[in-house]
Order: sequence, then C-alpha cells, then structure tokens
Amino acid sequence: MKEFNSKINDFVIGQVIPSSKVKIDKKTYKNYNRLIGEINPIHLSKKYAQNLGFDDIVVAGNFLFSIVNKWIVDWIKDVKIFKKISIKFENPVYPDDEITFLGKISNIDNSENEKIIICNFKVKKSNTIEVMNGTIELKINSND
Amino acid sequence: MKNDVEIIIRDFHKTLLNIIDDFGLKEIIINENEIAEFCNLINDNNLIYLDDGSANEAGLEGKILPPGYFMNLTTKFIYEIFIKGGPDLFASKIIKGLIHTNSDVEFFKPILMNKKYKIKIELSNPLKKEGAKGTYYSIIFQISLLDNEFNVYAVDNHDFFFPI
Repeated sequence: MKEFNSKINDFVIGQVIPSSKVKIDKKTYKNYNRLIGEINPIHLSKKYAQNLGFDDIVVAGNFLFSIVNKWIVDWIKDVKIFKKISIKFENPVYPDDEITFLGKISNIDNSENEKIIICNFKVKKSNTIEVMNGTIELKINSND
Repeated sequence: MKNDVEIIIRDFHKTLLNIIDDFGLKEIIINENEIAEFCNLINDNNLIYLDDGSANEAGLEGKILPPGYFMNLTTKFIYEIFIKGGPDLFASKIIKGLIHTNSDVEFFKPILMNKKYKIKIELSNPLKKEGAKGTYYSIIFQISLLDNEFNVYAVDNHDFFFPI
C-alpha cells in the first residue's frame, strides 16, 4: 500500500493511462452471453440487429464495461480507490472488432482528507471510430 | 399519431413501474464460480477476485466482485422485469427495442463474494429526445446493491434509449 501511495502521489494532470488493445473474440463473446444469460436479441441475432440498422450483432455495453474496468484496475492496482465510472456508448462494437483504450488524468483535487483523481477515457475501433467514452473517478483517503 | 405514441410510451412506463413494484427487493448472493469463469473469459488474473488470501493481503475482507461485473448483475434484473412484462411489453411495434446507451456507476464498498445482498430498482420518467435519426425516448433504471442493513454498496444508473 505504501508503494502504491507513493505512485499515486506522483500522478499529474495530463498523465496518460497506458493504452490497451483488445480484440472482441467471437467465441469469447458467445461464451460471455451464455454465462450471463443474455436474452436481448440485439446481442444474439444478426438478423434482429440488422433490422435495427446495425451491421451485425452488437456487443453488449456490459461486456465492454467489464473490459474498461479491467483496464483501469490493472493500471491503478488498487480496486479500493476506484469509485465512479460514467460510460457512454457512441457507436456499435461488433464481434471481431479490435478496440483501443486511451485515457488520461484530467483533474486532481487535493483536500485535507482525500485526493480525487478524474480521468477521461475513450475507446476507438479502427483507430478512428470512437465507440465509447467516459470519465473515471479515483478517490484516495489520507488515512489509506 | 403523435398522441398514440405518447400514450404507448406512457403505458409502457406504467407497466414497467407496476412490474418493479411487484418485484420488490430481490435477494442475491454473488456466485464465485461464475466470477471465476468471467475472469477467465476476459483474461483477468487479479487474485483479489479469486483468492481470499490474496484479497486479505490487499486489505480486503475476502475475495470481491470485479467492478466490471457489477453491470452484469444489474442487467439480469432488468431482463427479469422485461420477461415479466411478457410479449405484450413490446407488442405495440412502436417501441422497436431497447438499446443501452450509457451508465453511471458508483462503488461505495467492495462487494464481497458469498454474501447476501439486496437489489433495489427504481425507474425514471421517459425523456423524449431528438437525434440525428429522429425521435427517441430515454429511460433510466437505477439499480442499487444493498446489504441487509440497507447500506449501499454500488449503484448503476442504466440508461436505455428506445427508437420510435
């Protein structure tokens, strides 16, 4: 914990979160749908998704949310300080898409008892299409 | 036509509210096997989700739910609500489907595995919006995870839009 505290104390506004690339493997996504009991046909049926104007089945926001969270927790290495995440889904992600996670620290608020770190992130596919974006709040109490 | 749409949206909202009211507070226990499988699927090797000893070393009472899994828990209950609504819920053909557009999630305490929690669901009023592709409505399910003393562990404000 002391090691982490010294790392978090070194965080600065503008600091970049190490980027990450993930390919949404079709088989993995299918197994995920089975695991969580997905029923929304937009995530299961290509025909249904196409009727709604999509190219293929749409990868669920929940699945993408899972991967974003993993990316952040892998970076901060202390899940206890991860307090909030707002995520907006801008464009669909389809199975076999490769997505890239990008983010940086946009604000740091130091008070007597706590430090709040705000990060903005975005996720792109094909390096140009933004599929998600959002903000993350990390909170460190001075007693930690 | 416009009034028909608004009536359908109002009835849809009312139906959902009635179902949520009947739903009440649902009890859940986080299944550690499900979490282990999930971690394997997304290549998450963080032992705080898999091993009590490792979680203790990290300052936690025991292994915890990956924050990324929380939304999977909340969605299950939203789907239960839709299933309870039955085929008539989307039978109007005016509401073509629901698309999850954004979520605001807040974590208050680590969510321990194998502990009993309660799920509380609340629903916003539908909000009419205009987009590039026409009119749509937005509705937010607020899902809270509580313990038996009603302490809040996490909240997901799960926003759906439904195109008309």
